[in-house]
Amino acid sequence: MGILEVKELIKEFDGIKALKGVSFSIEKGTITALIGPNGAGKTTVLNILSGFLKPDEGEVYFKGKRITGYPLFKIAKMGIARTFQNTKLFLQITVLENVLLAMRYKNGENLKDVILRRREVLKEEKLKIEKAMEYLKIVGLADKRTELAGNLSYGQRKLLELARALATRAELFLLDEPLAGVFPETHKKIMDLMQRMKSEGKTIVFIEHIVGIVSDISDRIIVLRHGEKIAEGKPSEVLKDKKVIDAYLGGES
Amino acid sequence: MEYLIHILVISGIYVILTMSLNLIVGYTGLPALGHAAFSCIGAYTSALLTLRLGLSPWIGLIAGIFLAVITGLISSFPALRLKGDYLALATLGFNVIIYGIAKNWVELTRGPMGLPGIPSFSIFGLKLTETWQYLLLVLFFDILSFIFLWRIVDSPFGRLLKGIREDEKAIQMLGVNTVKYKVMVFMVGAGFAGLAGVLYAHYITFIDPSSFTIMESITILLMVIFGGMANLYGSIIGAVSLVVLPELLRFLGLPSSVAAPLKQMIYGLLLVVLMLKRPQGILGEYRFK
Repeated sequence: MGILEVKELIKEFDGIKALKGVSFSIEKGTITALIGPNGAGKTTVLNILSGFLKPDEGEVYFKGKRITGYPLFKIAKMGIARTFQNTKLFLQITVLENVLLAMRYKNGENLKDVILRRREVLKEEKLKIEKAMEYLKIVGLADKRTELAGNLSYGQRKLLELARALATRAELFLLDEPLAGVFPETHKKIMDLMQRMKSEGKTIVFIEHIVGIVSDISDRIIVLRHGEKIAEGKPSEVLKDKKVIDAYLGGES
Repeated sequence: MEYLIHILVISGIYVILTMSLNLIVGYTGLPALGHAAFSCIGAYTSALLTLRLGLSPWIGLIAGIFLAVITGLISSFPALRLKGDYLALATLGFNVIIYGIAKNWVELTRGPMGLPGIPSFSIFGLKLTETWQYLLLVLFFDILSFIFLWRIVDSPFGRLLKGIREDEKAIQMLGVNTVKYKVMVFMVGAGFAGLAGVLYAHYITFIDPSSFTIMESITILLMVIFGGMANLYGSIIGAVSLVVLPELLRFLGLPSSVAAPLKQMIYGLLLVVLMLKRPQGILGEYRFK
């Protein structure tokens, strides 16, 4: 059984079926691409997996536990992190603080300790800052630590959001178009980072449009179209599939 | 001189109210409009315990804070299911309920007649009868409250609160149970409002429901906004200046029938000017969305 099991997800928005019974399974330590034309339901799947949306029907199992309908924070605590197509950062605070917010404190978030044991809290904060700086170094934003997140460029925001996701120490990462709209050098950085995460045993599910990128990096591909899974498997097989070629080249039919 | 010290004592009490409301409104971004309700609980609890049971005001102080915290906890359950304007309305409604109880439960609170003759605090057998002695007591609690609240906001805990204010969903996505934090913030804020109520009751020695109306809650909110959201120093400035400024009117020699409504108008005017010229308040870092 995989780290993530998705069973028969159905989701309707105002009478339009966004998902019509999507099922798949993700193995631990793999990179899976979720592809498909616009409106296929890719983001809806990520929204359900991360707890932003509840499915009308169907179930999600993470590490063997049913998490359907769990509140956002519980799903996050179990080890699922998520990034967004247009990023969801705290723009009014610094880059460093954005990463620190992803790290959970033992003393620093305890009301009693904050008031009565400030010294311990400050000590803990120092350690967390060191750790946060490591994540910022990984994505190459260490020198931007005092910058407000709102002042970063689009590509830098994507990197910061990745650093923040890493800092949650999740096991499963759901990345919504991590490569869209960034410059080629950032592109490479993000792809290298995804490989590195994989080599550390992390599991990644990501959404992407460009078929070339997908086949380079992913172990498996899941193709959605009109809310249904039309193909799944190794990149070499899936991208030759006639249904998939039709979905991309044949337009809407 | 006596009069000046009196103004300072009142300012000092408002400083506690304003700083604690800033924790809820400014730092955590929850638009709460019922702060006077919690100080009502504190004031009546301590006044009744000392008057009816003859207990020491110090016990009244602890009981008053405790009951205000409990009230904060209870009021947070329905309130925190709501967001934005709805939360503001719910807390406003809560203020109306508490005010209604204080006014209508005549057997306990004597209703609009109020509770006269509330005993003063005493320290080591020395009764605080002079105004300047009371000022020292209030200053002591101001400093204590400031340190307490400063430690909360200047910590990872405080950072989380700002995160909730900026984007609650995003902070939940990082594994934070935001409801838990919002409840805690409500309880802490209510506790300090209770403390302020106790200090007020034993200083004036008379309380009636009219001191704890919605208008009072709005005044405290004005002090928060005026001084600056998410800034404790701002709250001190906001509270002191909005207590002192209207008092200056007295020196114009206006009759009190004119001065009282004029005070409300000045509050209103100040706020309009401030929102136009400096919407984040004097020292604020954050403005209403």
